[in-house]
Amino acid sequence: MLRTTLRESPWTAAAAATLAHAPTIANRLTLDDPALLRESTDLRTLRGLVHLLSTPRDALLGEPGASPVFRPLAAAIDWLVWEIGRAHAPTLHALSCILHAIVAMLLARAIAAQGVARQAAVAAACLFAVHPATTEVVASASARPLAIGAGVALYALGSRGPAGSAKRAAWGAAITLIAVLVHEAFVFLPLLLAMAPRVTGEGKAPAPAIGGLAAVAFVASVPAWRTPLLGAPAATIDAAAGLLLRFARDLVFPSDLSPFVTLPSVGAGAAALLLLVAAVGVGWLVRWINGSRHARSLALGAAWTLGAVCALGPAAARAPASDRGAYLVVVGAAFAVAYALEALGRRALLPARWAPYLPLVVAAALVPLTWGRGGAWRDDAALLRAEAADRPGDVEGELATALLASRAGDFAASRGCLSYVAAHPMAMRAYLCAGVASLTAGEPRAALGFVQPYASRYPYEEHARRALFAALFATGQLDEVDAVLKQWEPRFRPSPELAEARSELTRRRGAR
Amino acid sequence: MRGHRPLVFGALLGVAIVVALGVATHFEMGEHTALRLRAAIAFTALALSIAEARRRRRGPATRRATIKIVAALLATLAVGAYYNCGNPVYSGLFHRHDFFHYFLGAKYPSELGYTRIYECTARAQIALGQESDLQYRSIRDLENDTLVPGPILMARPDTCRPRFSDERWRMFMDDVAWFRSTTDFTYWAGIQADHGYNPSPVWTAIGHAFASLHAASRPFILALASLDLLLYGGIFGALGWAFGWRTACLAIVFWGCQVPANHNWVSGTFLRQDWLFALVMTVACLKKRRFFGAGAWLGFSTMLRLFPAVFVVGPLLLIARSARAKRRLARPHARFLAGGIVASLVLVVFAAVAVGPRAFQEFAAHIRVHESVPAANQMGVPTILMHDLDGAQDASLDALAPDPVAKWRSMRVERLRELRPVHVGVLVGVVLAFAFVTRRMRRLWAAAALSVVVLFAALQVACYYCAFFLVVTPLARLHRRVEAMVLATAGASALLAVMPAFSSTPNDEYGTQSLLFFALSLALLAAFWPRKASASAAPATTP
Repeated sequence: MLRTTLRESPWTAAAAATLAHAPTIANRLTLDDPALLRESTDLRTLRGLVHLLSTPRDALLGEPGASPVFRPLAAAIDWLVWEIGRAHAPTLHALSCILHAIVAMLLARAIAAQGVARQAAVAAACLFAVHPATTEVVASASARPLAIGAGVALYALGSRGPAGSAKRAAWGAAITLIAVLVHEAFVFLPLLLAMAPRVTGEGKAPAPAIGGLAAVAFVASVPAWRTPLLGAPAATIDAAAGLLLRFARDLVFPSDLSPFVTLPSVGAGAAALLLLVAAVGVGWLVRWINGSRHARSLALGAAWTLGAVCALGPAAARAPASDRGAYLVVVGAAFAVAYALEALGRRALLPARWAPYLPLVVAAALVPLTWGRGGAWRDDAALLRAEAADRPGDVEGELATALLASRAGDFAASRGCLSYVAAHPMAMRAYLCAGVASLTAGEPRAALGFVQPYASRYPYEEHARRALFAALFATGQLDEVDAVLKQWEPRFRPSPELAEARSELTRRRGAR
Repeated sequence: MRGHRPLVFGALLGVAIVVALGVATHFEMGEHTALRLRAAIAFTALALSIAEARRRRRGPATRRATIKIVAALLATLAVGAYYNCGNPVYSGLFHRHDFFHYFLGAKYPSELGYTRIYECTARAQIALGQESDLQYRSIRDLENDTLVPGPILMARPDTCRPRFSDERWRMFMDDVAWFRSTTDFTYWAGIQADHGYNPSPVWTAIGHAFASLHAASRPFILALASLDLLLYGGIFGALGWAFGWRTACLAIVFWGCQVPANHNWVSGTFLRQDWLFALVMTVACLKKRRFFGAGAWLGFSTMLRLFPAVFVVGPLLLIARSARAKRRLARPHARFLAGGIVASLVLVVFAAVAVGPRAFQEFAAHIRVHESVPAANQMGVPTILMHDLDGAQDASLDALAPDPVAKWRSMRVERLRELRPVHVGVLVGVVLAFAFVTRRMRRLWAAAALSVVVLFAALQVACYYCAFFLVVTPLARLHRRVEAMVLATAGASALLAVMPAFSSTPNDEYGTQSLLFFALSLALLAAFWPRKASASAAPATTP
């Protein structure tokens, strides 16, 4: 009795999520977390909130050629979290963990709302909760918008919505707007709402009002993008297909997940064909199993997956993608898995006694893998080591090796950063390494081109400050040194490199 | 069992306080962590309250025993949270700053009056050989409420010593020496720059009786400080007696989690909760239909702190309406009014005998000066209006000036003067809305409790007096939404105090808190707004 209750309770999925991701609470803040959540002065005032609400995310980071991605609700949540809890790493990670647990519960509820048996829904949600591909969204505090947006979308899919088609349409548009203002990827939500029986009305064709929902929500989400959603169509299609292949691989072989992935190009034509085949394939699959109400779950999962990769495509076409997007694909897969689990049970492909335990065994087997991925996010150095070890032949893996060498002071071995920056001039994370390598090679002007933007984006990094002073002194820009010191001294005093730079400046000016 | 309810509740509360204090002393935590804990307690209580209401609507109600246990647990936690979980802002379990004023002011009323406490303290320090203390600090001149450098004030003719007999001067010097020995220089300088001794002559007469029992010493001061603990017990006991355990627990959670009247201001102090106890007793006695006693308690509270007089507005409206309808004063109403008048007269005579009739004149003159000077920790609608959004007031603070806040103060006064019409408009609107809401009210206690709305719109009082919002907790018996409002306000006040965007300066902090509590006031009016005019509804006739 109790075991049955547990297998049917969404709390089981929440418990599984907590079990799999709890170790990340001990992690430090990594990647963009310090810049966005610890050092941002915008988080400390009301005026800062206004700035956050009106500025694209990457512009906040000082990213060159900043993408127009604009997430005002996510920024407002970040502001609120900092105001209440400050940038206390365990608090932020615990919050992400709780958020993921809530998403897992909502997923179980949303799958069950499509007519799937509760046991299968909970089992699929458990698999999602513990899947290693969800690690980045939980372990990186600045990836929170994906989890929040998924929560909003799943809440909508599990709800009945208000009575009356006009009210439902308005409600769906409002939910979509909220989700899109949290994360731009959720522009596909109206499509799902139009497919969800609880929203459209059980047993009825989608109401005409729902049909217009996508257009309404899309128009409403335009401010969130600031610039047109799509860049070059061919590149976007190529990137979407690349993401689909990549994330499908992540689902099955989650061994080399990375926050930076350079997608292999399959070519625009091949990509379009791939997406078309995928869509038609899903259509045929649904048709094959049509007549069974359970097909809704499969269709919804497929639509979620295709919608997610297409929505993430434009961003992936601009810069290296991230495996954090796989979070959405795991959600989509969970809908399909729930269908498969129920089909297994229905057709007695497994002994009846074993069937309920199979997903739980698989979930339990995944937990150590997820712990391992969570451990890779312990700090920036651990993340680089994991990237270098997991992807030795890959360009991102080579960069990680170069960054590690730079950190260790082996500047000769860190010249890989220069070739990476040449290939990806917008990827600032290699700038410091490239700058230091250039300085070591006696090219201070080239070094300044890398170090200056890096230090203005990450001024709280002592190495960045040191490198900038070294480059400025090497190029003889004493007035610039003075200006930078005046800016940093009130903020970072009593850092030794500031005192050293000040005395060196005085000495050089005296020598003049 | 029902007859033993107050005893059982008192015992539970006692256990709660002992446990909370025990826990508090073992787990010292930062002030912000304690504030977060307060918010968590209030919001947990809010969530449970909503869940319980939903469950009652949809199916079998939660067992009363379960609710009682959970409520007692939350109340216990709130008591611990109120005391900052063992992290007092001051050491030694008593509030030196407050005791200095209230103990000395009450013990030497005829010598110090309302304007000489700092000057006489300085003279006593000179007599004690502590002149160096006066060289580098300012002292507040209470004649005009401005800061004056110590040496300049001391250069004036001595108006203190001639007022003391030799024996009383020695006692005063001993008391000053003891207080000085318990504080460091910076804290002492802060005490001497405060706004003086401001209680009414009635409080002075009562305080005098206690303070004159012994010279200032740690055991004696701790004994005096423990009087407020008894008063707190009385406050929540009275709420339990009149309105039941749930209201009492709600009040404890609200009191423990809200920020304006928090532990930092009024814990470990000398009889600072007597007015609140009297006010709560007013509402409790009205509920128990002890009208003469209710009037007497309200008279007592008013004589102690003046502003509780506003709590008579609601009952007066009901009484006037009833008298107009019946063309005579109902007996309970007459008893209520008589209680207030008799108690006020008795207390005035008592104070006049105890501290002299001139004390009333001096108090009136002093309080006029005191009220004309805004302080950073005041709350009320005027505080909201005084607050500027461009930060100019905060920028005007000059730590190097003799009075660092002089310009800030004048800017605040000027701004309020400019916005006086707005304040009058808001006040008129609130009073009209209040009159409309109480039009169909029949219960005097509810009208008295709801008068908090008028008080907050009319006046600005020191933040710690906002404990008067405790009297709205019984309104939850009439309207369940009030419970949620009160808990949400308490939790939000704790969260706002943690958020730098709203609390980095006292200006911001109490401006925001004022806004929050004004929102609560308006929400209370909205909750009791008559939904549908019923033709059969009779005007208020019975209390």
